[in-house]
Amino acid sequence: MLKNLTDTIEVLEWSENITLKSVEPFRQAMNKLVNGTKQQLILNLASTNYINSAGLGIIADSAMEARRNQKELVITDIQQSVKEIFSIVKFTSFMKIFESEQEAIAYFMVNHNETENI
Amino acid sequence: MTITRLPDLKFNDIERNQAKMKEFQSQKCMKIVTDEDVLQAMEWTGKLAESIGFLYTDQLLLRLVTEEAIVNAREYSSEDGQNEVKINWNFTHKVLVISVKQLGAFYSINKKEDINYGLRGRGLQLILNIMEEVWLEQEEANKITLHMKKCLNDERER
Repeated sequence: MLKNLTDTIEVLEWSENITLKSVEPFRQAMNKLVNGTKQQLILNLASTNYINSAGLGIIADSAMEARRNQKELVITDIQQSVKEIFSIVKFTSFMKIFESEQEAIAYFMVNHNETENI
Repeated sequence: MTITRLPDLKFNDIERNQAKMKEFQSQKCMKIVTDEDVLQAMEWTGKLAESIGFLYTDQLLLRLVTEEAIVNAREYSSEDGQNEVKINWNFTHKVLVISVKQLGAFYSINKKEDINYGLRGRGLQLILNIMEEVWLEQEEANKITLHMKKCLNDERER
């Protein structure tokens, strides 16, 4: 489910595991998030405890695509199993991951204010 | 790359969940044809891992290994114009070995340290990092089997 939080922040709350049956809807949802009008993007994985390699590829590609378009994609609320998967594929080396949506919003608020003050 | 034969694993008596283990002792091999077969194989791996005593997180990771190994095998097999993939489970009360047999030739199974920013190419790396031992075996001229082993860690799991 996509939700607009502010003028600049949009959140995708993904509500299921990402496996071979559900990877295509996930791809479409991420495309919609990344290609939308907002610059600050949050992927909330609170309800996801399993992501296959195709899903990981979609997340990585989306993060890079966002960056190419002066946007930023961050991830929040990851479960322990997903944390282990992310650690294996070294996602923390090129994506910010927050414990909660609130932390991500606070991060974006600080960054947005800093940009405005320049 | 080390190539060794799969050691004979006996179906020993299991201290816990013996009724459940009997169910799996009869499900030693499964042919994979459809996506539903893949999901079923993942389900079997998860239940088997639970019966052995793996923690929930490891059960999920073992399901992931199952999915990745089978999907890779299906993709690789279909490149040759055929698609024959089988999965086999061998286990004791502390060890689970998942084996996926496919048509094809040997390929590299080395761990990589570089970061992958792309869409594809993480399946084998996930398997190599989740499982304790991974090796390839060639039993027939154009068939290979990927064996993946994980042991129950007493300190962590019990």
